[in-house]
Amino acid sequence: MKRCGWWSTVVIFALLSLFFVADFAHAEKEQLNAYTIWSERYANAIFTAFTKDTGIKVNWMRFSSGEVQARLEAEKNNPQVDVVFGNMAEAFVDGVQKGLFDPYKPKGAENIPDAFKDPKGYWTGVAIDPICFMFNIKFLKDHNLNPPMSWQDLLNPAYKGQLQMADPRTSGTGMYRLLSVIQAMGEDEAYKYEKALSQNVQVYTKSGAGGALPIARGQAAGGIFFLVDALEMQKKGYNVTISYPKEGVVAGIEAMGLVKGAKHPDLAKKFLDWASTERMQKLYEENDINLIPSNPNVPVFDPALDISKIKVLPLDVEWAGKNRDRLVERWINEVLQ
Amino acid sequence: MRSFSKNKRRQKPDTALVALWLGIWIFLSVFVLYPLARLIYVVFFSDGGVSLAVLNKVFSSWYNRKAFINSLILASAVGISGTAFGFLFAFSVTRINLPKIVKWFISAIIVLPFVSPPFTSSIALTMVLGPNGLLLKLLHIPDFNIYGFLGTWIAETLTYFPVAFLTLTAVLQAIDPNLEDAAMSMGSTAWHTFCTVTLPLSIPGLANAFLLLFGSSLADFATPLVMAGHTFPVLPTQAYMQITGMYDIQGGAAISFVLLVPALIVYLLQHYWVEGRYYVTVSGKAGARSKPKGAGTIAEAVMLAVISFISLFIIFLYSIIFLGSLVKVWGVDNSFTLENYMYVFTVGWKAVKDTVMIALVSTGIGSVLGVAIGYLVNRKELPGRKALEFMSLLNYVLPGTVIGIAYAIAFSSGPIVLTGTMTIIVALCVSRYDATGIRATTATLKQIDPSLEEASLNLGASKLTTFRKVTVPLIAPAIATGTRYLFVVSMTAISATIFLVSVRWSLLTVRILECITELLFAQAAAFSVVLVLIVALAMWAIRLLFSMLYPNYFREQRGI
Amino acid sequence: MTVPIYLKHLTKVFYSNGTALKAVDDVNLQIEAGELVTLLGPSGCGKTTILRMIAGFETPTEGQVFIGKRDVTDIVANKRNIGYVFQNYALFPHMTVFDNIAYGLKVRKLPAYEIKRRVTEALQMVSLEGVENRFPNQLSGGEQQRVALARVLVIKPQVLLMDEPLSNLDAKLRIYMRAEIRQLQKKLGITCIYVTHDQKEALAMADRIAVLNEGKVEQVATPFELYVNPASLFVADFIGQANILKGKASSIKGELMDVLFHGVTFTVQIDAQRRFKFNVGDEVALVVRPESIKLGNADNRSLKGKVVSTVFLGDEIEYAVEITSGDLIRVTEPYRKDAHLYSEGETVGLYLDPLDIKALPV
Repeated sequence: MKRCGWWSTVVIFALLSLFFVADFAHAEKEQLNAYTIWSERYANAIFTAFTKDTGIKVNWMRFSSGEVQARLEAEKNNPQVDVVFGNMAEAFVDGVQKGLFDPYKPKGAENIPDAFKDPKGYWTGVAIDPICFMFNIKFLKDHNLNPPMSWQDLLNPAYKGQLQMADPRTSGTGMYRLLSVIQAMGEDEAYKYEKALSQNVQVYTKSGAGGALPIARGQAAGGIFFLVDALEMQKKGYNVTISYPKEGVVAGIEAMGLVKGAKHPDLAKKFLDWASTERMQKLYEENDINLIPSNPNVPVFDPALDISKIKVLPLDVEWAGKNRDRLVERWINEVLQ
Repeated sequence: MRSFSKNKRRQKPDTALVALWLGIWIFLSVFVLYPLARLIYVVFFSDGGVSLAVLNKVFSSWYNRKAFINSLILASAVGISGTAFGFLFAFSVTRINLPKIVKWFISAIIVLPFVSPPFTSSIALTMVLGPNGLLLKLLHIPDFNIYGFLGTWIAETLTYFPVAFLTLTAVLQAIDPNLEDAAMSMGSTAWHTFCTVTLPLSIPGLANAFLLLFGSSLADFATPLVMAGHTFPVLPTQAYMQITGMYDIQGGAAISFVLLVPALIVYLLQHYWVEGRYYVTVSGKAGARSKPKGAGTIAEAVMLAVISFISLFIIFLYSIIFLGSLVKVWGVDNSFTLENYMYVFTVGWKAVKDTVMIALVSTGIGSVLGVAIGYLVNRKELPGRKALEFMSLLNYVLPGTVIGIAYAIAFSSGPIVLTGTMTIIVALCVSRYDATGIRATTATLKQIDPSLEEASLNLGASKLTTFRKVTVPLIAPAIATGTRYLFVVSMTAISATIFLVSVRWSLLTVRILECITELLFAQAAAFSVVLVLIVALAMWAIRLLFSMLYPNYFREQRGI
Repeated sequence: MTVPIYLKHLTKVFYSNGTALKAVDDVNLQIEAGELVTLLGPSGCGKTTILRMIAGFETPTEGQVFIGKRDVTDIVANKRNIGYVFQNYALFPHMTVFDNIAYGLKVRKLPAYEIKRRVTEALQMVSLEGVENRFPNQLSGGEQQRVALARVLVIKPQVLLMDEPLSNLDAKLRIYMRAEIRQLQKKLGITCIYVTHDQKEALAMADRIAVLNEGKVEQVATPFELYVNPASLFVADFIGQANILKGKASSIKGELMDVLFHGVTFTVQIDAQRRFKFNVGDEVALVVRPESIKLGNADNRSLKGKVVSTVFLGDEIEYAVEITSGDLIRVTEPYRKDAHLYSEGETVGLYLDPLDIKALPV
């Protein structure tokens, strides 16, 4: 009994030091670290398939687009991840300016059209995702409304305090909504429109898909989303309708890239190569990932993913990335005021 | 007279003690001073010199100025309403004979906010009063918007008023009922007595409670993140948004620095001004104590009704969390399901594991450190004791957002790089939450006569044996308090740790927040319930551990 | 084995807020083996500090402490083998009586049966049996005192230090306990230093008393010597009651000195041993104990005064008499059946026996 106290002290300290050694040693293990903005289920499917194909384990974390960017910047001198998967192309452009990425042209990316990848190889698009409207059918019926077919339809006072959409400060969805409106109406008009729209907004959500479930459940009437999140709701069986404004929308490019100073550049390149293959993009279909493959050779069977009938506005990704901060600043000053 | 210069003897320093002392100084320098210094450097040094450019930029934004004013308005509002609630409850408990069931309610609402994650009341409030909320449906108010000042204010008041209650109970208990008797005997009515004697005597206590709540609200990050929406920005969330949304670490640091100033002022006011006059007006123990006087029958009935209502509402909110975790989609599909818990134990399992691990390690290290600091500061004549005590409490006093950002800046580059490790989270929890242990140890040691330790030395025990066999058992209750607090807060913290989670180490509270931002309330509720259960289990285990280690655990309180 | 204690130039200076306070000032003291010496003095005179330096709780600023032949000045407290009884007993509240007493033995890693035997023996020694399993707060003050004593005696210390051990007890128990402690100390033959501010306690218990004032030793002597032959005005005033009359030396012849006090000349003997030096014309303090003054009718050999108060105490009568100089003189007379009781306001003469008068320098 007398020695018990001593022994326990020794054991505790031994465990502690062991623990810290393990903590640091863990960091050195050959595993790929990644950030993604894709939802849990999607990202899980992709990374699991990669591990299955290559035997390389992936540690990954999901954040909204803005958070990923902020983290990369904070960790600039000591990168915690090797690749970013699924972030918006314009975010990569912004990141390249800040020196967060290294160029790498993955093998297999030749088949991806030039519009969906960076000429220097800083980012490679893996999927395309247009902006759309998603509304709760029951709400529309109760208020005798048709699904909106124009940006102007959203200004209907019937929607007062009933719309949920993403905050462009944190969310790529929010940013692409803003870009869509700008492309459709011109910048100054777009901000006037956003200001008018804010009367009808219940809450700007932090993440892009944030408003989808409340709308599906009837806590809000509708909102503006990426198609992927809207389709997710519809496929889960919620009573929602998807529509597009006749003035047109912008389609987001979801891309991947190599983090500058990555601690496991070889693993990262292996992943980028793998993710550029048709095999990877075929996983979308297999796993109900509602994204449009960037590689035209991958067949699309789902009619909801056929975007040939909607008006897709062109977007200069370079311009969007370089003007991002200014656009967000202006949004705060003119819309939130 | 002999000269003092020759043959002068000095107390020989104990090498082990000096090593420990140095170790603590190094720890505090690295994990308290260094991050704050880096934060200040980032804010005030740009373009190669001292400049106010960053602060200017932050304050040129009307949105940030609004956030600053909002923060102060919110903190004042929460301070006032929370103190009022706290006083109402404290007065009822100390001056009115309450039914047992009401007393049980009250003890429950004091424990609940402490053991649950910080946004629990926010989630519940959203489920009840948010869009399509339960009560809104019942009361047929479709156009009610909880997001903004109102929701934040209600949620923070409900979360923090127990702090005011505990403070004020102590104050009211110390007011001698004989004073009230004296007033009554001079012909004053119960209500008049309350207004002219009891209330004025509680003013220092009320001021203290107000400042405590003001500080808590000012630093609160989780509640406004969930409740404030875009119409009511406050500083802590604004700093977070600046970093996560605008990719602007410098700006975030500047905003958090702005937050640091009022927080420090409140602390200094509370510490040096209020505590100084705390007991001045309260007379000492009188011989015979008369029965406490209420505030008059009608007033008593009203108070009883009000506190019962508030208590029931709070308990209702917390039960909503539990119910919400067991249904498919809250308010839409209320069929019973366990799939939310399945979610916690599959997708969320890593976060659960990581959080428990971090809490365990932090608790282990932190409680030892807390005792060591408390003991050294109070029992040993070592240089810089006061400075050390102040430093050891600094991380606790400052808002979590400030510390989190300071850590994120300090340990991502420079000589010490800890980003992405567990060490950084553990260091933060330890340096921030061992404060309670230090304070409890200090308070207990002040009650223990040093002669007990001297007696042990005199009987032949070494310093270490004395510490183990006499000091530690005597301060065991304080250690237990510190340990419990450390574990609970390491489990429930978010304001600072949210800046430090990484691919390899994630936290339950961050997962809950993610669920909330994705509006997955059922999963958030399930996570919260699991967290509360873990905390409850840990509290029980700590209690068991201490009662096994120190069988006379409850004896010490009876005095020496 | 019993040993002497020797304090050599012991000095302790406390520094607080930049000011130095000399609590103990060059104390030299030899305590013989088996002797009980009390340190007596008003509060703040440094007596507890001396005790704490001997025990090793404080480090002397200067000087040395010898126990037997060993210089223990630099030896840590737990290696000195000294028994120390604290004023507040310092019983460990989280241990039973048995564990309290066994504490020192367990530290010395004695076998369990030996510990049990010695604890039982120690409890017998202080006449306290059957309370082994109680906790200190379940005992009365007197019982706690005995446990504290048993706890130090059980380790068979070389010397015993006691810091006002009886001050928390009521008057009756105090008198009983001091006898008991003294008896025990004699039986064990242990060298003992006993700190007190209660002069009756000191007189009753000590072989010798060291009177301390402001960190300095005023006098070390047997109780009798101290009372009859105080070395300084402080000692005279502190021990027992004394009337102090300040007169002038009018003539000195060898060991005899005439002192003039308010018209009356007293011829007193100069204490040669103490080497007091008086010159004619010096102010001289005359110390007279209240019991060595006789009251009678006033004549030219006596001081004349008026009785201010008469207090009947049973075995004796205490008078306060205001003499012509304005001084208030205290006089006690033993009660006898035929004694005359002077009433307040009565004029009396005070007769001082020159042999009972001590002359001390002012």
